[in-house]
Amino acid sequence: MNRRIVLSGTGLVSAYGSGVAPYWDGLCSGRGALGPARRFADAPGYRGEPVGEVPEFDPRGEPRKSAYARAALAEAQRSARLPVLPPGALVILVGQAPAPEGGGQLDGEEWELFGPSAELRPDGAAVLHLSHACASAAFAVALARTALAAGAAPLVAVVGASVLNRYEYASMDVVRAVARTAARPFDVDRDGISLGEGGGAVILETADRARERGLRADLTVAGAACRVGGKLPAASDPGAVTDCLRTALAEAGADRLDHVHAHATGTAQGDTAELAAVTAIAAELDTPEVPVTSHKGAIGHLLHISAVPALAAAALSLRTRIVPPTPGLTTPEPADRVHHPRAETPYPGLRVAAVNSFGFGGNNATVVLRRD
Amino acid sequence: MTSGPRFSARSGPPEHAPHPSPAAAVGAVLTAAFAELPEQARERAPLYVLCGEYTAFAARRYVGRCHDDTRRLRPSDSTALEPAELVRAWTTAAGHHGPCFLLDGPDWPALGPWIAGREDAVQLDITLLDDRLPVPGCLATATVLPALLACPEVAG
Repeated sequence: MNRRIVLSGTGLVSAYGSGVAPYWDGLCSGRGALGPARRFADAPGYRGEPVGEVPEFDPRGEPRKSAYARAALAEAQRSARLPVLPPGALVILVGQAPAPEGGGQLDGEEWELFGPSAELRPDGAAVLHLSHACASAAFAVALARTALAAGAAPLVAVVGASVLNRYEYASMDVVRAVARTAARPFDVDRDGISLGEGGGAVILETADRARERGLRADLTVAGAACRVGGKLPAASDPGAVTDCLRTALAEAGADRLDHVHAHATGTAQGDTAELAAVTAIAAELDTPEVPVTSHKGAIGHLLHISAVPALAAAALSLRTRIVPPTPGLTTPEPADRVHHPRAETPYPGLRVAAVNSFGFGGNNATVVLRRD
Repeated sequence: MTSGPRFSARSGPPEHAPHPSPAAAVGAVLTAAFAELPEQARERAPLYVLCGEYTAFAARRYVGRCHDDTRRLRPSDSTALEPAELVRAWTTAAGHHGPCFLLDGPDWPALGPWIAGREDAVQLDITLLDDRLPVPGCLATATVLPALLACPEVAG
């Protein structure tokens, strides 16, 4: 028996608003949604840097993190035509640390660091929590793929959220990663990260199961690689990044790489390491030029859930054969075999796309999507 | 879960434990556990780390440091938030290139045999013994999980 695992649903809350559609439209327009904080403006340590705050969202009394995650999961279920998750479904929550059910001793601010809470668990679903820094959602997709291949669950939802909060802001600021101006991934003048917030969810299942509900089941999660390793805890390791890309493509059986939705947060070291990895893999595949893009100059860095906007964009690139530009990018750092589209650009032959996701602690992951 | 050999080590101050940090205890038990795997499986065998208690502790410790008026927040406080720091030194030194998952959840005991049973793997359990010590007291237990299931192949 051979199981093809597909991406059957995506959901997103971002600085463009609620939904994948406004995010994709915004990304393709090239207009970023970063700006001075409103709700977060008075937080300790905040000095007016551009951020990606979610506009016009009523959390209805819930902690924002749970509310963003719940909204994203609801959209992912709608796009997967799933009014409810099936019995035995596995929900993988991603975040810094599991929040105790009922909140335990957490105060309001701490809620935005911990969680989301396992109270998001739909009836009858199993729940795991995964914590791999900013690569968490990509690691979760790799685990989901393993679980589905093993028959451990009929369907897996990867869910998480990030909310602007003093703790994670300080965490990035103390390592001098926060940019004073809006993030400019791959730009020669880039100076760091802009933090964002939002929720993300993706649903994975077998192609056969997705087709039973009339879905196209055309987005195969063809390969995934995730590694913990590297000499430094807060720097990208070019060798590990290259290894992940190479391994995920090999697992996918892919002899081509048509597009990379990069992690590319806008830090000098991280973006350079990632470009070097793409250049190396493109050379191995004898690919003259790979279109590479990043969303982090548009909505900011969504930390643990940041792979979801990347997967959503890569999925839509595969379906529309269009690669969006990288908002914030003006003068690209030179890199062999890499092309950064300056506007939404058609790539008629686009079939295999890689999503990179990295994080502190030596967390590195690549997910390969293929349109079938 | 049917399992193979198991190795344990403790971290804490010298008067309490032989290993000076949780990562050192983790390194000791992972070295022993991976040595039990067939040589061809060691480099790429999956590592499942059950560390929810430690992850929550690390987050609470970080929150405390953000509120500590007696010292400035340090870059090491930021990176110490990450549970991956439990294993990064070992995976790097050992040349481990397999998947690694830092997990928590009451459903792992039921799901774990399915998920981890596809191939030879190692499960690492981190138990927090004393979070008041300057060096957290942790018990690291690594268990060898031989492949159990004949799983369907994933189509690439």
